[in-house]
Amino acid sequence: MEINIKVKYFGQLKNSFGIKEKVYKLNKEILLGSLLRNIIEENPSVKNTLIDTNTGMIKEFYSVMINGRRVESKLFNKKYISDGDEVLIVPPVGGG
Amino acid sequence: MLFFGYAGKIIKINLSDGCLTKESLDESMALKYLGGSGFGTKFLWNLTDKKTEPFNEDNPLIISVGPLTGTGFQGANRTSIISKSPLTGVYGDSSAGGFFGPELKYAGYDCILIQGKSKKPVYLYIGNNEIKLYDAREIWNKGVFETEKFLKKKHPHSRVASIGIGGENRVRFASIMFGLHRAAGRTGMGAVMGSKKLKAIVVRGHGEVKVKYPDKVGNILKKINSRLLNNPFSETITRYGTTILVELMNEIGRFPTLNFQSGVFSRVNLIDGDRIIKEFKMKDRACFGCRYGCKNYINYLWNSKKVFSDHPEYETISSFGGRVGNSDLKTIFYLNCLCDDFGLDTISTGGVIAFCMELEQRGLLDRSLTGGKVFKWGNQDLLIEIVKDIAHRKNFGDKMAEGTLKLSRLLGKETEKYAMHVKGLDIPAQDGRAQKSMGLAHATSTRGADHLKASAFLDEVGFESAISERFGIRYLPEMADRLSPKYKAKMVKECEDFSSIADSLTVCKTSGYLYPPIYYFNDVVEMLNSVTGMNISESELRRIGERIFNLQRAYNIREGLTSADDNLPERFTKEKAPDGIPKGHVVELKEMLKEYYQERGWDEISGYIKKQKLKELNLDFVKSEI
Repeated sequence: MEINIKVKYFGQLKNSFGIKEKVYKLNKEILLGSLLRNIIEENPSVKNTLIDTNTGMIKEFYSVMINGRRVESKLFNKKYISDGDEVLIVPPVGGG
Repeated sequence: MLFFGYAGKIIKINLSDGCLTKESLDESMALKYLGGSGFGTKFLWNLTDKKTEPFNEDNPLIISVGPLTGTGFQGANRTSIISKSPLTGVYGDSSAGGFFGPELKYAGYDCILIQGKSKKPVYLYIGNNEIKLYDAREIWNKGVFETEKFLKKKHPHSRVASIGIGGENRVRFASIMFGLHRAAGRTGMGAVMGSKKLKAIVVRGHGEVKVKYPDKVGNILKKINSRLLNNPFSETITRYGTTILVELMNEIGRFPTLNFQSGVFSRVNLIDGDRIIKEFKMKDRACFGCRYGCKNYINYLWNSKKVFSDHPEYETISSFGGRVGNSDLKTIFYLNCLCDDFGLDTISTGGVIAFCMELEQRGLLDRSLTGGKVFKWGNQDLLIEIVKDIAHRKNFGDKMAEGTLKLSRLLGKETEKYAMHVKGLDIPAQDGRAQKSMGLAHATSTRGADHLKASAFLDEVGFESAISERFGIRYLPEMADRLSPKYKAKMVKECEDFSSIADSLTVCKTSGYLYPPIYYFNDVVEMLNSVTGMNISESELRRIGERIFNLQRAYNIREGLTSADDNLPERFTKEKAPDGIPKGHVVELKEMLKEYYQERGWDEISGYIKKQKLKELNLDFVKSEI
């Protein structure tokens, strides 16, 4: 069964990716970590923006949310994304 | 003065008789209260009591800066203003960035204590060799923009803090404007200034701030500036300022819409930061000594005329946008300029208008009172007309100028549940149902509903690493989860204490202290000691923050406030968020408040400060008065 996952980019990430959002059509549920790796592979130019080269992890202060709830970075490879979920990638913003 | 960093002098002026004195700053004041709002809190405690009426001559207006002001440390540019608030009737303060604070320090002063009332309009000039009251009749009844122009011409290169028509007319949420666009907006400090017939304060300084260990200061500056500029937040802050928050807060369901009936505004894309930056931004602007420069200079066409101004902040976009159902960005720009020129707090102005619009929606606003005006959501002409009426206290605007709480009491009990305030201060642009820490912080803030008294930003999008460093990994993931009430009491308490330090050093909280979470107590103590030579420990600095916050609390208890005032409108505690991510959530205030009182060492029922806590904080002197 095909599943749809919407990925939304926030703030200046919209400029980095050149899009506001994209719907991924997949044939099964996917780990958040795998989805993020796919996104980076698809957009190699944003690797330096998003990934800390020392740790290989998403940079400090960047947030990833599934349906508006933040996912701890240590759970990226444990958390599955299901059909209809929205993934929001947020650069470092806040403060009001 | 034993300590460096301070100018070492206070100006005391009585406007009733024109008596002016200069006094040396007491070293123990510096050690216990640092400066800024710390000084203001202690002076206000000493100089007022329960009988003091905000507009009476015995209510002081205290203007104060801190030991880091003007040193070049990041964001050390703010000026604190403290007085008994005419809007809330309790402790009031506000602060603004810009250039005034450092200039006051260069003129040789840490603090100005203004008492009494002048019979005719005056303005105060402060220079290194001259302090003088000037006749201000020529600029009375003039807006802030014209006042600034007039005074800058008369006193070249000076910095000006002035009030507009709003302050002159004692609109209870009038601001004091620093320059054209930096507002000390909250709690009606401009109305206190207006009640004293003080139109403006003009400063020009040529002195310097002496630091104890110049080499150390230089090294710390290099280190902390590099941390600041290499931080991933930098780019966004400089490019967007607070406008970036509009889209994000809407996304997380925290963007006040239609007087907080919802946290999601469907037309947000028409008023968000992206649009402002792409279509209207001309260049970046910065306050004194700030490496970020979060202000944006914009231009837009209004009635076929080109207008140049600073961009509206997130709070203002909320106030004149989603909160009142308006998605016309240029109207928001114009209302922002109107409020700057009139000297009105945009948060409370939008708050009282949104309150009336909801009453209209519910059929609770009698049109015979409004002069036939229909308070329809998003009515742009009405918004402009009403802001003008409020500033001039004209027609129904005269009643609105009393503020949301007083207006709701006038309009009848059935309207009170739609008045979105805490302790009389309008709730700013955070729906606590979508971020529990903000719900708690609005309730506990000593100046009434406020996001900055605590600046509890760590759970907005969840800054895991900062939480881990500041509190410990055991508080994750709950503390980083904005929809969980767990550990929010601990976070809010700690943030309030750190914010009290920031307000007393008069550094900008959103320039690397509270947001982004870069510098903390350990960094600040290093900065403070290198400048002043105080040589205090980090634990002592924490105790100072706690002392200042507790003294503000004690002030409010002396005024008659109780734990019942640490409350939120029932919309937040009983009505479930209707849509967006927080759908179904309320603020679990009772539960968080109990935990918060425990964290604070206050009585869990009454919220009073326990004797042991007062002793611990060297606040024994308040015992006999509360």
